[in-house]
Amino acid sequence: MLEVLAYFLLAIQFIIFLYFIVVNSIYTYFSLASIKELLINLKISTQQKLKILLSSQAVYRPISILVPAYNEELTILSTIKSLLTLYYPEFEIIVINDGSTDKTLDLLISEFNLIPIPTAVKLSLPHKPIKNLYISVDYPNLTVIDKENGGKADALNAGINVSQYPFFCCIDADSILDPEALLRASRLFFEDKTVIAVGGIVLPLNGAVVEEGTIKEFKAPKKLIELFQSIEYTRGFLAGRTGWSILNSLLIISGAFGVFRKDMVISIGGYRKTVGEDMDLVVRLHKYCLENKIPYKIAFIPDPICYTQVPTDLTSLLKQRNRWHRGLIDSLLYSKGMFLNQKYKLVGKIGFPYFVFVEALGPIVEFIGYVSFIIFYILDLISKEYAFLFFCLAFVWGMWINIASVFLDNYLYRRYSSLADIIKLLFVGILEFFGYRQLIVTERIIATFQFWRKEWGKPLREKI
Amino acid sequence: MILLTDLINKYFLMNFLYVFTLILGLSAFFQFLLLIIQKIRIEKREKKKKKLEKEYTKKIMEILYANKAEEIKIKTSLEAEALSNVLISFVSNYTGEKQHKALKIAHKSGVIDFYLKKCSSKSWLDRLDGFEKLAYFKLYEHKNFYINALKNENKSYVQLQIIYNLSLIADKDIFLFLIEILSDTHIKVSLSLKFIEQIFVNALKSILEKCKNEELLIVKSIENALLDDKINIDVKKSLVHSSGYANLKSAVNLLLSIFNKVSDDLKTAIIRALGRMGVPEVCQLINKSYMSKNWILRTVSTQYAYLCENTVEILTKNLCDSNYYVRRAAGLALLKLDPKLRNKIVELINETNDRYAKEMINLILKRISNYA
Repeated sequence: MLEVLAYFLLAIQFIIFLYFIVVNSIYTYFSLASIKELLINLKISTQQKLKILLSSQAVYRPISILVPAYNEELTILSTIKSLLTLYYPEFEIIVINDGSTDKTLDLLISEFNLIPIPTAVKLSLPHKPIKNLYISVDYPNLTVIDKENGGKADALNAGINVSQYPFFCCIDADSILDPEALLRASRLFFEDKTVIAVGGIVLPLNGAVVEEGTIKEFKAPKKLIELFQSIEYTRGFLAGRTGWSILNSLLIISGAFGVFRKDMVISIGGYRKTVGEDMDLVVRLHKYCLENKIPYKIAFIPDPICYTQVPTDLTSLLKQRNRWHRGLIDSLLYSKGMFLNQKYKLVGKIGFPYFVFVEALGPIVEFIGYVSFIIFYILDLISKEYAFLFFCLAFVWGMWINIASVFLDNYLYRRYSSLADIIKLLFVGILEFFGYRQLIVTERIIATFQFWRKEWGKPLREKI
Repeated sequence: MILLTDLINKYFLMNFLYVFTLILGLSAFFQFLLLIIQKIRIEKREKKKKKLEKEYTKKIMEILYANKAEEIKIKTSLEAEALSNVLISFVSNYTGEKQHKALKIAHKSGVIDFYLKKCSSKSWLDRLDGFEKLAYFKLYEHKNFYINALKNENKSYVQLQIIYNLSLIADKDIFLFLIEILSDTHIKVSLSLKFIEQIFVNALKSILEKCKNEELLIVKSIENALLDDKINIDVKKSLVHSSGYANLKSAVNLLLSIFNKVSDDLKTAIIRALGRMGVPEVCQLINKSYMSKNWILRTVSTQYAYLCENTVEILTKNLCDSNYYVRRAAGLALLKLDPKLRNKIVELINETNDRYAKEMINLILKRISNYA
C-alpha cells in the first residue's frame, strides 16, 4: 500500500514538472515565434495600405457590427458613440438589448433619437422573440433590437438575423474599438478568400483617457487588480494567440472583438447557448470546415484594435474567470470528438489537446503543485536547495515571458508613452507570482467543478 | 517516499537548474535593459521624424506655392522615410502641375532611388516596403522593372504588392499581363475576388486616364478573356465588375452580347456592372432574369429594376417573392423610385394578401418617412 502511494506521489511530481516545462516552453516558443509574425504584420498593415482600403469603392466589404447589451447603462452610450466614429466606408451598428432591466434601452432611445419600425426579419437562426425594432433618425446606420432576455448567444443570433451585410463583427457593450479596427480586420478578408473569421488583440481600457468614445491617451491603470490583468492580456494576446494563429489552430476569438463570415456562422447554426459562446463558435467553425473539407483560415491580426473594461474589483474578476473556465470546459466537452482526432489535423492533434491539458486541467495540476510543494517543504521531504532553485527558475522564466511581451508591445505599438508606466507593469509582473496567480487558479478549480452552471455572473462596470 | 530528484543524477540536475536559471535570468535582464533603451530610442526617433516631416512639408509648400528653387536631398533612412511620407500625401492629394512638381522632388531628392534599392534587398520585408512606397509615385517608366521583379519574386505578399503597383500604371500590355498572372496559380495565397476586382479597376482607370486610344483594344481583351475556358471564373467576374466600377461604357455592347453564353454567376456580375453604370440597356437583361430560378440573379435584377420602364411590374412581382433577399432588394429599390410610382406599388401590394410583402413595404415606408 505504501509503495503504491509512493509511486502515486512520484507520478504527481512528474506531472507537475512536465506541466511546468510544457507551459513555459510553449509560451517561450510563442513569444519567439510571434516576433517574426508581429514584425511582418507591422510592415503589411501599414497606414497607407489601410487608406487604400478606405478609399477604394471596389475593395471593402460592408460589415454589420453586433453589440449585445444586457444592463449596460453605464457604458452603452460611449461604446455606440465610439462605433459611430469608425473609419470604414459602409457599416451598420445593431445593438441588441437583451431584455435589460435597467435604463439601457431608454438611454439609447433618447440619445440617438430612436423610432420603432415594423419587424421584417429573416429567421435564419432561432432566438427569443423580438419585441421591437428601432432605427435612429440621426444615424441611418444604427438599428436597435429590443428582445426578450435569452443570453448573449441568443442576442447575437437575433443580431445576425437582422443584419444585412455578408460579414458581421461582434463586440462587447463595454468595449471601445480602435477607429481603424474594421479596416485592419477586413484587410485579411480582402487579401485571402479562405479567411472566414478574424480576431484581434483586446487590451484593458482601464486607465486610458476616453473622451466622447475615443481614446485620447494610454496610461497604466491605477488599481493593482487592473494592472495584473493588463500584464495578463498583453502576454496572452501578443504571445499566445499570435502563436496559435501561426499554426492555424486558434480556438478562441474573443467575444470583445471578432469579425465573421455570416454564411459560415449560419451554416453551423449560429451561436450556441453557453457561457463561453465565443470559443464555442470558433471550435465549431474549425470542426465544420475540417469535416466538410472546406479550405479555411481563422486569422488573427496582432494589432491592438479593441479595448475593453476589465473588472475593477476582486469579486467581479473571480466571477469572470469562473465563467470563462466554465465556458472553456463546456466548449471542449461539446466538441470532444475533435480530441486527438487525425481528421481535425493540427487543431485536433495540437490545439484541442493543449486546451484540454493545459487550459482546462492545468489549474488542477498547478494547484496540486502549490499545495504539495508547501507540504513537502514543511515535512522536509525535499531539499531546500532544490526547492529554492526550482522556485527561482519558475520566477525567472515567468519574468522572461512577461518582459518579452511588454517588449513586443512597446516595440510594435508604443501604447504607453511613459517609461514609468512600463516599469510599473513589469513590477506588477513580479508581484503576480505572489498571490494573484494562485487566486485565479483556485477560482478556475472551483469553476471546473461547477461546469454545468449556466449563469453569466455580470461584473461591476464603471462609466466610460 | 520516492522523489523525482532521486531518479536523476543529483549533480547533473543541480548544475542544470543553476545554468538554466542563470541563462534565463541574464537574458531577462538584457531584455529589460533593451526594453528601456529601445523605449528611449523609439520615442526620440519618432520625435525626430515628426520634426523632419514638419520641415519637409514647409519646404515643399514653399517650392509648390512660392516657386522657390530650394533643393531637398536625403542622407539617412530616417530622412527618406520622413520625406516619402510627406511626398506621398502631396502626390495623393494634388493633381496637375503640383503633383508633377512633387514627383520631381521625389526623383531629385533621392527618395525614389532609396526605395528602388530597397526593392532589391535580400529581406522580403524591405522589398515589400520598397514596392509599397513606390506605388504612390506611379512610376510609368518602371513597367519592365516591376514585371521582371514579379517574375523573380517568390514571396506572395511582395508579389501582390508588385501586381498592385502594375495595376496603377497599366496600359494594354500590362492589362493582358495582369489577366494572365491573376489566372496563374503560382501565387500562393487564395486571392479574394475583391483584390482581383481592385486590380482591374485600377488598371482600367489608369488606361482610361493615360491611354484612352487603347480603350477598344481593352474591350476586345476582356471579350477574349470572358470566352476563354482557361481563365478562371474569379478573374472573369472581376473583369466584368471592374468594367462597371470604372464606368467602361465601351464594354456595354460586349456585356449585352455575351449574356446568353455565360453562367448564372457571370450573368449576375454583368447585370451588376451595367446597373452600376446606370445604362438603360441593362433592362433587356433584367427582364430576362427577374423571374429566373436562381434567387441571386432575381435579387440583382430587382436591385436595378428602378432603371427600367416596367419597374412597377418587376417590383410588385418580386416584393411577393418567396425568397427574403429578393423581397428586401425590391423593398430597397423602392427607395430610389419616384413617389408616384412607389405609391402605385404600395397600392398594388395592399390589394394582395401577402403578409411578407406588406411587412417589407411598411418597413421601407417608415424609413422613407423618417429620413425625408
